[in-house]
Amino acid sequence: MTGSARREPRHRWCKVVTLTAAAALLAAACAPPGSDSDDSTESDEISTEVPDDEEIELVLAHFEEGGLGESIEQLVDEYESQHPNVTFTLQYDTFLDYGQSIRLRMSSDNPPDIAQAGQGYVMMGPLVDAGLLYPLDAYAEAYGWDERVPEGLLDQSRFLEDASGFGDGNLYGLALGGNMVGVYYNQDIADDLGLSLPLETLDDFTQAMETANDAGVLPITLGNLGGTRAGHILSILMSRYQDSDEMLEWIYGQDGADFDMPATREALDTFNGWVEAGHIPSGANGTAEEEALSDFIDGGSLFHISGNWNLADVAQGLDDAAGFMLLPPLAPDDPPRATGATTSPFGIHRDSEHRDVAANFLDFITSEEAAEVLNEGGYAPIASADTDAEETDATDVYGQFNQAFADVLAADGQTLYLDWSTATMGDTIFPVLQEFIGQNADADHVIETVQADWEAARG
Amino acid sequence: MTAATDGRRDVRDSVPPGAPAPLPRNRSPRPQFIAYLYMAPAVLLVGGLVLFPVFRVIGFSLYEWSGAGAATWVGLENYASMLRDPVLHRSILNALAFVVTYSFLPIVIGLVVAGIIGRYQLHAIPFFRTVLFLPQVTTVVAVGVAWRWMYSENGTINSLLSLIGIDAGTAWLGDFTWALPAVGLIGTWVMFGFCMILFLAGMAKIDRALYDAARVDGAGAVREFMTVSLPGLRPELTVAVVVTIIGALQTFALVYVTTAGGPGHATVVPGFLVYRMAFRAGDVGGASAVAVALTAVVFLVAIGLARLLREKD
Repeated sequence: MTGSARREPRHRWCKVVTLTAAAALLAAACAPPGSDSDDSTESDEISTEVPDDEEIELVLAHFEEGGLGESIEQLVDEYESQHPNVTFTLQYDTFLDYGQSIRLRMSSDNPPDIAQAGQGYVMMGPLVDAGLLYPLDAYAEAYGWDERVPEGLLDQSRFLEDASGFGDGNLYGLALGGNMVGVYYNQDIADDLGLSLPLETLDDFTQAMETANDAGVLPITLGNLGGTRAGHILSILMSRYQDSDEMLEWIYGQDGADFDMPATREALDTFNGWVEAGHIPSGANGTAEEEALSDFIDGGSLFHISGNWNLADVAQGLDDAAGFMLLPPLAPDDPPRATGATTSPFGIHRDSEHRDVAANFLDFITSEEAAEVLNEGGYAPIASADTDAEETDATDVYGQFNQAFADVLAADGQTLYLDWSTATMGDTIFPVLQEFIGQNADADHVIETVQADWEAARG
Repeated sequence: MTAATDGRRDVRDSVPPGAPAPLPRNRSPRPQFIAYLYMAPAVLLVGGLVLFPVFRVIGFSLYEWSGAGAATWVGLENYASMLRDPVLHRSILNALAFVVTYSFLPIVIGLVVAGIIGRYQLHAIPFFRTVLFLPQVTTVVAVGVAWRWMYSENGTINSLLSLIGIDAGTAWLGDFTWALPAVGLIGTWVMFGFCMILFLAGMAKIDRALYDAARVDGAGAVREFMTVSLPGLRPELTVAVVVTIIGALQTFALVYVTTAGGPGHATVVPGFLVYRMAFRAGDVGGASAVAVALTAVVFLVAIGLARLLREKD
């Protein structure tokens, strides 16, 4: 059965495979693609005029869902009716798909003109590094964007041109709204426990959790299966113990910054105290975020630490009992600070044929005129923070959030997210914090692991 | 048209039916050319859709590349840093643990269930067969989400345990000791239906006379299974072992949906690391290196196992 008649074709088949493989290998040898786009021929002249004598087509790529996505659609319609010669094509993808494909789409021959580029090293960094985003500084000056929002908010979308650091350098995007982490509470449970909310200081907060625990009520529901939520808690705790500037230095990656700060140790110490006292549920690492949220809405705990992305769910679920406050400060008169940022900003492709129009559109969707639509869609307003504060009806949970958000913005107290500090930080800090709240790692180990990632990313 | 017809006749002429004579080489180059032409669509498809991407990934693995813009040649550096990565070491150990729950347990359970179902010719067998196979055809995401609920602190598993007096009170997927076995057992649940169907099909091919003979010799159910069914199932066993072990080493979706590698790095697997590095950390080169290494290991293991199990024949 192993005669040469059977063998020979097999040898030939092998040859074909080898040849094909060799060809493929040759092709692969010059992979991966891409040389820097040559910016030598680029003109730096900008204009704030929208020409009305030519058909202009713009492609906008985004990942905003639900109300946020609808408000973008609505504003695009409005812009198109103001400029009948401008036509938009919207390309929507889920956040996950978007994140996976945006680099390739932006470096393709037919890239979107306007694209959402999340701050920091994961999304915006590689695009800046590849020279795919147009610096918006000249537009910012022409349109006066820096007067529209607090300076710190624009900084989040700034990147050094070589993408080695952010928070400084050219402006590469403009955001529509903000997000912020704080403490949701259940007023009914607080009433039962005889607590008067909101609270003045962090000690009061810890005291309130003890009261709840003693009465057999779970103080905090925490869903840390995905790992992010313990990160939020550590981050807001850290911002109780230090100025936002110090935290931002580390997140923005400035030379000499070190996670081993007194504030980090104090925050971890307090956090550990909560874990040891049983204020944090022991099953937190095995509980999904949405599961913890639905427990809280079902009256399962006094507090729930999360961001405004859960505002609608909490308002609907707890109704009159829903409340929101910032995590109380160390001392009552400390400036309001919170973990939070602007939403993912929109940038303009460097090779966009109509970048003046694209910039004009960005100006429009961040203007006073657009604020109402954005607000209804669920964006926490950044452009008109102070005008909104007056109208705030502080008794409902939306009003409480908006007031707190406006206070933090006014004090430039947004401290961003810890996992923004390097491209891999999310995969470093979330697992190690799971270990920390599972009491499998101590504060030293957390600090060492996190700082090692920070330093590795900076060579 | 004429050329093709000629070619076909030539091929037939050169290999007369029933004549095992060696194929005369290079006597007429035309028939070979025609043969390559026939093969071309398949070669192009496989080459373009399988081989080309594979070699592209090998190419990527030699560069530092974020997925956008210019790439920098780094040679084997991605492989070197891969070997130094403690999380990757952990992921390999986890993948080996998954071999037990993805491969060993499903095969054992599949054999036992197939043995029982195959022996007793019940009317309800199609029903049982379908129900037991269902996990295999359910999408992994649905499976993962459902089990995530069942494993939660107030989930089904803990309710059932408390019925028999065990008050675990653990969120299984968040427990550093139990998360890995918990995710692994979902794999067992998914894979054993596949093994069972495979073995049932194999047992249907075994000559009934062998069972009769065993019974005449006084063999019980277990003996009968060991001496008749098991040896008869060798080809199916080979397929089951190879397929399930490849599945175990390549696990991604189940981990992604249930634990995302946590708590800590307790359930992280190589496939998940590839995803995380490529799409989250923007390290396409490093991710490609892990993918290439993983593919090589899976390839070698599969070939080795197939050889090992075949040689015993």
